[in-house]
Amino acid sequence: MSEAESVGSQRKGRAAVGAAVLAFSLAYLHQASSLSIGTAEQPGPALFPLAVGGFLAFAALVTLVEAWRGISRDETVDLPHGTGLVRVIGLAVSIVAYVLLLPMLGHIVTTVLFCTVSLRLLGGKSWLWAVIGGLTIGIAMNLVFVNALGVPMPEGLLDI
Amino acid sequence: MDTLDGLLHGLSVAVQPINIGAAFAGVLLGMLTGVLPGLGTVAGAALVLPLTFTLDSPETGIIMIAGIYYGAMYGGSITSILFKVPGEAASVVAAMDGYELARNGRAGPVLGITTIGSFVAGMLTAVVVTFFAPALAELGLAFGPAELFALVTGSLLILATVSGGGLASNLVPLGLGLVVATIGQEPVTSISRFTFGNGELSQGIGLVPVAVGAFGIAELLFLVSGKRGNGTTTKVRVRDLIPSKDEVRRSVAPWLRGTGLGAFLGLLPGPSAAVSAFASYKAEKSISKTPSRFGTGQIEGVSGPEAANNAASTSSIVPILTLGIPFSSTLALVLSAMIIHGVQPGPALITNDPDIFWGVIASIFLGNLMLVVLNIPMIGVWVRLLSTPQHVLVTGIVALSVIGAYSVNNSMLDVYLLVVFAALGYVLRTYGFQMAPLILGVALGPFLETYLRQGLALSRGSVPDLLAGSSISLTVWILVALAVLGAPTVRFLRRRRRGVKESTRV
Repeated sequence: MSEAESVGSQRKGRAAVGAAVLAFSLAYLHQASSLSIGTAEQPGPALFPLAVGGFLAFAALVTLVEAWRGISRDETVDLPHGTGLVRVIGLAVSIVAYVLLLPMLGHIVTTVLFCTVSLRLLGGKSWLWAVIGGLTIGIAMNLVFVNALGVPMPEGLLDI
Repeated sequence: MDTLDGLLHGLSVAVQPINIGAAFAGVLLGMLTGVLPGLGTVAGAALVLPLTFTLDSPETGIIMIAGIYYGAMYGGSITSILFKVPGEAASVVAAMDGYELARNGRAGPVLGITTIGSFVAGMLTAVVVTFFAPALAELGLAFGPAELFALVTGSLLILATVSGGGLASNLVPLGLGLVVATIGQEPVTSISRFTFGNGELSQGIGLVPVAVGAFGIAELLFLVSGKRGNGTTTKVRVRDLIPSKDEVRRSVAPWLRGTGLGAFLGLLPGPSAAVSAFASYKAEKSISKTPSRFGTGQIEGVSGPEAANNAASTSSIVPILTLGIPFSSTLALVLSAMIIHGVQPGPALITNDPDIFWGVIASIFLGNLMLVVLNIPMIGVWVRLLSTPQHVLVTGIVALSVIGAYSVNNSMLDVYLLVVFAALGYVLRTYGFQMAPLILGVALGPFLETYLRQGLALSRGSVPDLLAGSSISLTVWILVALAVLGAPTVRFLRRRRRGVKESTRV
């Protein structure tokens, strides 16, 4: 990516973040307005959220103005591309799958699966090594945290 | 109890075998998580702090928490020097000259110099803390809700303006953090807000999933997308740690100057560990006879900032103990862990809970001693740990983070939140937003709301009374205004003067 493109995507990205945060703050303010504001002497639960929502909306506007006027132009954004992008997306998808399957399949099964996939994806070695590594990390984690320290992780399929 | 009695009492608490064990385990865990590249101090502390909740006695728990804090703060420097991967802003300076020295084959002595420097700074600052904390706690008793509201708002504003990266880069995450803090039962009347009927959400969103997600997992995503770290893979043995006589001689004055700077800055709001490291680097560079050699491996550029960094981390315990206000993200975690142990830090702590107050003070001495005792034999292990292949490291840390997030409340909700904040942190950081204000917003939000509402009730709804009703709040607001507006005003005036000169020349 060229320097100019990088600066351009930085500005666009920050503008997008600003717009998203602005929309979020308005939705939040709308929700907050349904709470009771109370009186000046006895402020209700709505007072602080309204102030915070207003502050967030202001921060979002500052972001939009800065992006529009190109104030933060000295910062260049380093978006992942090529193999880096594949690795980021791969890891992110594996983490999401890990967390979603955790309550169903249980800690030990999902941890072994996640570690195997992640080792294969990031390490680039053979599946055999990834499976051995996955089993080692998964079982070790389970022994230390679930069996020894007594963290009650979801059991799922295997009750070890 | 006067200061000396208190300290002796604290030491008698701290030297009980279980507490020494807790300090040992805490420092070891803290260093381990601080050393691991990609985890960083904040996420590391967030992961291991829940382990202290298994301890029954609050003193032991808090001594371990303090150990984790010192260990993590120091561990970050090792990674920074050997790998040039600073886990947080405070270790950035260590990477400048430290990494160059390590590349020139002086890795061992540099680590030796930082170990001794951190120890000297930590011990000297602990003495200062011992004598100043009780006095500051007394001053803290004069702080009511209005004064605390001014102090918390002020510290957040100062943080947002001095952290760098432009105004919006700090305000947006701060606002988001404060929004997160409003989710759940509100602090005054316990009405549930923004929970959409979810019972678990009414307990609020804890700091652990936010910190581990936004700092830890997000950092791992950056790690796998970019170039691999190219560290020095040289072995460092214990005897390699011994610096040369010349290196020690050149480090003594920077250690002392750094300690002074750090101990003072640590008492003030703002990212003091990072600021004091930068300030010490600048000071050493301007005093040096050979300023141009800074950045190419000058030992003064490591010994000063590292002493300053550690002194600031130590003295920033004081605002926690005496006012109950954390000025950094790691300290925010420390505070929340203390609260879970049933300790409410604040000006009343010294009278209500002298065991805890003096126990923490004594644990500063103990923690710093542990740091040296542990660092010397463990250095070889840390270095080997740093050469762990990245794919193993990333995989292991994700699996560990999931357990860490789950274990705080034994709840899947925290694990889902971990992923949500990892995504948020990744997107925000990609576009240059800062993460520290997010954590502080989450941590300080409930305090801010309580102080605001109590303050308004006490001033009978009068905003001017709330803001300027007492000389303390007025002073705090004026100091904050000076801190926030001072630098931009000076810059504006300087630019204008230069502009005038240029226009007269034409």
